[in-house]
Amino acid sequence: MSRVFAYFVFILLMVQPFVSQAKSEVFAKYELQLSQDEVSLLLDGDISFNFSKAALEALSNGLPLGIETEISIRPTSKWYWQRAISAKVHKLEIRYHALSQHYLVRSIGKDYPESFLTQTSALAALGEIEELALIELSRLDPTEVYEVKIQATFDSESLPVPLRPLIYLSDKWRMASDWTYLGWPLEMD
Amino acid sequence: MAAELGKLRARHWGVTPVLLLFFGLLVSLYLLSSATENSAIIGPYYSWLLLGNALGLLLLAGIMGYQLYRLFIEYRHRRAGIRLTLRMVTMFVILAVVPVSLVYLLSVQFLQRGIDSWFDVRIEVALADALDLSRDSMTGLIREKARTTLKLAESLTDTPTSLATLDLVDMRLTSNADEITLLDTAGRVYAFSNINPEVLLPNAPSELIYSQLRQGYPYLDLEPIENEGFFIRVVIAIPDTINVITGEKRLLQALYPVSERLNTLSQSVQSAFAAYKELSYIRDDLKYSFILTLSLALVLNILAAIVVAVISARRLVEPVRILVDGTQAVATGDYDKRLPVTTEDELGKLVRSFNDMTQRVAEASQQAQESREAAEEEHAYVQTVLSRLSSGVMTLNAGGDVITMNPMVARILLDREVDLIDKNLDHIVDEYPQLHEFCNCLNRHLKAGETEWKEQLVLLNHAGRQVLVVNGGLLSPEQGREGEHVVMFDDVTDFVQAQRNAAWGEMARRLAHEIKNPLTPIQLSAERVRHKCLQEVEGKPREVLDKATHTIIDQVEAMKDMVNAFTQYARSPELKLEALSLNRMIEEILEMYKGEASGTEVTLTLDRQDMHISADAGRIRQLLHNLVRNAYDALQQVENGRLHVVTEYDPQRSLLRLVIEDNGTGFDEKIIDNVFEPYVTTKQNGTGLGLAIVRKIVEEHHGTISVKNQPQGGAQIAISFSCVDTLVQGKQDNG
Repeated sequence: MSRVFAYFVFILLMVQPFVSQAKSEVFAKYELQLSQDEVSLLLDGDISFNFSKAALEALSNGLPLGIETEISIRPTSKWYWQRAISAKVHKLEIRYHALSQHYLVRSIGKDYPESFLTQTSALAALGEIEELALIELSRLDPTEVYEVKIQATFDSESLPVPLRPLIYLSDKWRMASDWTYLGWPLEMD
Repeated sequence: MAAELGKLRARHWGVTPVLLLFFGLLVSLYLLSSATENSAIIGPYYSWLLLGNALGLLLLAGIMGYQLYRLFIEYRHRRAGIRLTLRMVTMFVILAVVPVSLVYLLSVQFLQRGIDSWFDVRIEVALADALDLSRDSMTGLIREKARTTLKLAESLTDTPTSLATLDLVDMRLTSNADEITLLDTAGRVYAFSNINPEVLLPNAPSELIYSQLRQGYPYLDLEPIENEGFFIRVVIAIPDTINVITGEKRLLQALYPVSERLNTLSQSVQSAFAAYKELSYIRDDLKYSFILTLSLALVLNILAAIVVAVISARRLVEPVRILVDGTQAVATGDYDKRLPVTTEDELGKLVRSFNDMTQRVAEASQQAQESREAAEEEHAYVQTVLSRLSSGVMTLNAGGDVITMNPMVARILLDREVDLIDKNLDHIVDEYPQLHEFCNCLNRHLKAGETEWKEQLVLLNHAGRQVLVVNGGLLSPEQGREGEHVVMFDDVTDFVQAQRNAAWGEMARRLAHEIKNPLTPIQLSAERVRHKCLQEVEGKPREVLDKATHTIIDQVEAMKDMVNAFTQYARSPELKLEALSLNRMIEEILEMYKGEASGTEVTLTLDRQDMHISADAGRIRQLLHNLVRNAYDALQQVENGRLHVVTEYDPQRSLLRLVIEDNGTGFDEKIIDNVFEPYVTTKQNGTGLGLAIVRKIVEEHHGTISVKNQPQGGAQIAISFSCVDTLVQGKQDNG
């Protein structure tokens, strides 16, 4: 009996990451394009975030929701575990302002938060990226092929402390996308 | 002992890491609890604190599991003091866990009620009202600013776009706006004026605002600035102004600041409302968070209580366990056991006393051991002496039970090794009837309770007639053997026989000397009288004389033969020993007697190995003559007489045994015990010295002889001689 239970736990542990991955796949949808100007490699486009019901309810009740977006650039000729030449984490945040009944959104590349009347427009603005300079072109080798990838993860640390133990135990708060490759492989002109 | 002390010290040090871990976890739990209240400082480390606590508790649980496992193993092996340890652990754990659990349950209840009491409908309504009030207050301000902006927009109706820049500066100054922008519904900015000259781009309205304006509605709203309060945004279409080229409406956007007081008050209301709303939303989670912290504290307490209880119980029971170990060691006879003194309290004194006691016991035991060894040595010595004695020595209790005996007792009485210890004299008689006389003698003296006695006994047993001199005495009570008797006896048969032989020899020698000398003159005188007087007398006197002288001469001749026989018996010639084949000698002698008794059947069963004995040939020949003559004499009156001569070799004792059997009349039972004594005979013409000489020759050759009547009739005489090899061997050993 105990052996059957041990097998059950083992299978659960093995399957659990795939289940989580399946759920987190829909957290962020990327419509991004890479371009370049004279100086830098640029990123444009939109990220559509799909928050869980619990997260949206928390937002409506005044809790801030934070997202960490990591963008990494690494040459494909290097081994997988070698460090990327650029790995930046951008922090996004959306919160509700009760008195003005506006949503304050801090999106990528914006110095100040913007305010929006509706939640829909605020969420849409959260994922907007306009000509975000990823890396100077001078740091890239023209003969090299690079991969650019992005991953968005819900920042549980942005929530109040009492909520956090629940977050660690609940799937509703485990929101993250897989690494998504942008224009891979990126070949320099 | 040093090793045990080392172990004890290691156990004492074992508490320190547990206590350090416990206090570390306590601090961590305190920080965890503080993080809930003060999330700004400790909040970022909350996850690490939670992880650290979980790992710490796991570690503590592991230590507890290890300690309990050790207890279990010790219980299974029934280690000394384990039951007391378990009782103490149970008591400590109950003492620690019960109050803590009660406090925990009360705290949880108090916590839930306390947190619930934070939230009140009236407060919620009041805060919502305050928020509405703030909004209403702001709405009035917004309308005022909207009217101002509308007037400004109307004033721009006839102003060309290219000339509007200067007007915008005047308008901003007169309207107290922070920024005024002229733009169209397509988002094109024509001109703007900002209170801060360094601002190069205007604060553009969102797409939603454009959409609203395209539909013909002005936009006026209060917008928040993160952590800096609010501003009022008013966007109005300038009446009757449509760009001919683009077809878009011209718009005027004005951004007005809110007064500092109004900003502060509104911000305060906003913060309070947001905090209340947040708390209200996470109300249950807040409870769970506090309960989680409390539960962790409870688990920490229970784990620490169990671990500390086990370690403390071990430390407290350790001296008792050591004492139990010590007493068990002493119980098994290990008096060298010394216990380590770990404490200076009463238990320490007890251990010291135990050590003193075991030391004294060890010394006493050592002395007892030495005494016992000395006694054993003494006993072994006495046993050796007794076993070497040629006398039989035995002790008996008053009831006649044999307590001790030396090997010679059985050897003398029964001619073999028999253990008679613990047997009663009555039982010995039942088992060995031949000892009836001997046991009777002992019983008689035991019952009489004589302190000292001496008696000579004649027994008839395996060796025929046996003469014993028995001495007995009562052991004194001072020797610790009250009522016991010691009996010592010697087989003096040979001694008595030797004395008797010597007497007979002396008598024979004197007889020969005193009688033989006058016999010759008597015989000569009788022959002379016969020769001279027989012819001179006639008739009856002649017959008388003839008969008388004849009788005298015959009797003198017979007396001479008798004297010769006595002389022969008394004579002890020097033996000329040589290796002799007894078989050949027997065949020679029987050959001489072949024609003497033709009716007698003679059979020989001789040993095939033909072992030689060391003997004087002349003496052995005489021995065989006497025995064969004796047998033939016994067979004269018997029809179908049979004579059977046997020699057989006993390799174990290296003896050659000669047995002569006949089916004659046998020996008279009255004389059979003394048949080897001189002048003991039932024959008419026998001298009574034949068998006496035979025994004398056997003894001269260190052999043994015995006689018995056979059940089917006839006599049997058995003689044993040592074989040559044995004698040679014996001489070499002695040399």
